[in-house]
Amino acid sequence: MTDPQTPAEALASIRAARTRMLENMESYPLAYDIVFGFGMAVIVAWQGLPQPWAVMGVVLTMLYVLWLQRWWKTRYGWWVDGYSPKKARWVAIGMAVVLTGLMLGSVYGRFQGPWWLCLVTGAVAWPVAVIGGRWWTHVWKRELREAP
Amino acid sequence: MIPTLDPVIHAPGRLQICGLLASIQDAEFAMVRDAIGVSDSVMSKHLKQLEEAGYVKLTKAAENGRQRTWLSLTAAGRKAFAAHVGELKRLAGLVS
Repeated sequence: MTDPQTPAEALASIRAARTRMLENMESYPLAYDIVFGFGMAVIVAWQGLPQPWAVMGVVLTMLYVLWLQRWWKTRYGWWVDGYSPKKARWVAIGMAVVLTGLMLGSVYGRFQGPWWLCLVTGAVAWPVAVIGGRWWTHVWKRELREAP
Repeated sequence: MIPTLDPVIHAPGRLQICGLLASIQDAEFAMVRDAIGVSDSVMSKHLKQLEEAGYVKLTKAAENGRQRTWLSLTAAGRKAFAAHVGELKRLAGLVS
């Protein structure tokens, strides 16, 4: 088989294709993370509500996340979940741990009070999700440019 | 087993297709075509070979009144691509 590429050139061609893909999202909107963060804030705060509202909040948020995913795929033509990339997944896991902790805070507020604790946890969850989302993207892009 | 380069993956276009798809869950036909800079027909030929090898899965979905084709690497495709890149890295290390 005639091989027009050296191994180094072949590896470089993969990086080049990935870089071209990333060029389309160099200036992806902060609004996406703000909207995503709002959804996370709602799901965290909603846990402070009595049933069946708490469960309804989870269902509505799942639909909201699916809608966001659909928007992203239509806009950029691809999708990556938060937990697949080796390095960036730790940002996603860290964010999930913090958001789960805040969610438990909302549940605590529901049963032990104060009732408004869910408003505080929701307010904290919003910037956590926005910053986490931006950070995740930054780590993922760097990981993609360095690999393979 | 002696590691070898996978001839299905190794062609420049197919290597780039696999390289893109390995980094994400799925991608639309046009996005991948533009990223690797080939025509529709060349892209289709590459995909046919990758699909026949069981490395790529094609899914058609209607969106806003038009048909879009989504591509994703199968588990076998991810495994084969990882092995191929491993071998390329080994060879690149030998050369440098």
